[in-house]
Amino acid sequence: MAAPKLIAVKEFCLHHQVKTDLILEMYDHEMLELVWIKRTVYIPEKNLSQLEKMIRLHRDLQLNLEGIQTVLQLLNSLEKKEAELQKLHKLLEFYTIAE
Amino acid sequence: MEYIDYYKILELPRTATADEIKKAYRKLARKYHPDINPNDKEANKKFQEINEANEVLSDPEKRKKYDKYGKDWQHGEAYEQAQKAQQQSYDFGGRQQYTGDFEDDRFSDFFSSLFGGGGGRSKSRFRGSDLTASLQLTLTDVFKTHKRTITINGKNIRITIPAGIENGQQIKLKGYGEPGTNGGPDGDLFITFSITNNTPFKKMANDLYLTKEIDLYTAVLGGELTIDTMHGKIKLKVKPETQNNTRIRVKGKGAPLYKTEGQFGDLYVTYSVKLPENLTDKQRELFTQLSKL
Repeated sequence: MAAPKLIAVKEFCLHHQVKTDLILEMYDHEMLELVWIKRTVYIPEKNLSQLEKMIRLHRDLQLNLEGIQTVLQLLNSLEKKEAELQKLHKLLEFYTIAE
Repeated sequence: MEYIDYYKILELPRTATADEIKKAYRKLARKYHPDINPNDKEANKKFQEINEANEVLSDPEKRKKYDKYGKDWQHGEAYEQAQKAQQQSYDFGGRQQYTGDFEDDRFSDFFSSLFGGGGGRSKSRFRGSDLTASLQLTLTDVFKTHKRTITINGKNIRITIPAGIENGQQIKLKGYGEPGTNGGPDGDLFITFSITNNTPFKKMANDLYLTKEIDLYTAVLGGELTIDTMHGKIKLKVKPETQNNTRIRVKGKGAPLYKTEGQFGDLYVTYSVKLPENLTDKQRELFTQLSKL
């Protein structure tokens, strides 16, 4: 199995012009997964787009970490509801045709 | 190029204070932020307008220039260019104003002509918007994996449609959406399949359902019948004394399993016993005899 790709937090912060403390704070709030190898901290590549989204919400909307968590939870629950609605539509379609 | 009323975009009077501009921007940015409104192109566009308006109105120098030229911005541009040319002739190259190292595509032509380039602040990199498309297929189409060419935004994309894809199912084509802004990655293309049933079968998951009429005599005495399935004709044995609405299962004659080549669901056949109509005298007599046995 291939090893997951990792991005150094330092590099990420430099690129996005954010403080390392913010990333570590997100980690403390269990909003993010980080990997420590020796003395360097890395972000798994699979979490990159989610982290970028959190940074944008923080920067553009001045949301604090609790605010970001709330927004993400609500978006997630909306997505689940939409999937459920679609499933129910399909069931309804089957029974409507069956009648 | 049209004049853009930045005050109108931020829903503010021209006398708005810096604090009011900040508040209006925050209020609208929360409403239209692309991360809060995923897949909403209109919100994305609106957010860019709000950003641009804020970029100008929250910067005292830019606001001054914008207010100064207002609707006559075209003359303002000419004036600026003349002034710049004059400066260049005396200043050994002149000064570069309002230029940043940011891409211009987040800003309107109006903004670029007035301020000569993108904004001067650090901007978020945005993934391009995701695109959604709908593809109409028939149930027969999705019985076999096949390729199809679709045209999205003038681009031809050849996609493989796996057998067994469901009605309403979505597939993602990474990077085929709108281009990203400020160096952000391109969005994705989501294709939703709309499958119409062009067969006599009803489909539930991978199983197919069919109601087949059989006559009273076959139901009572048993017999054999041939039915058309999606896999060709098959022969079915009807047991003697088959009750109305009896359902039988024909293994492996249903719909294909998604991304599992060579595997199929089952076919369920429900027998609907049709009673004879317009009985002859002889038939009536025989039924009477039967009823008295």
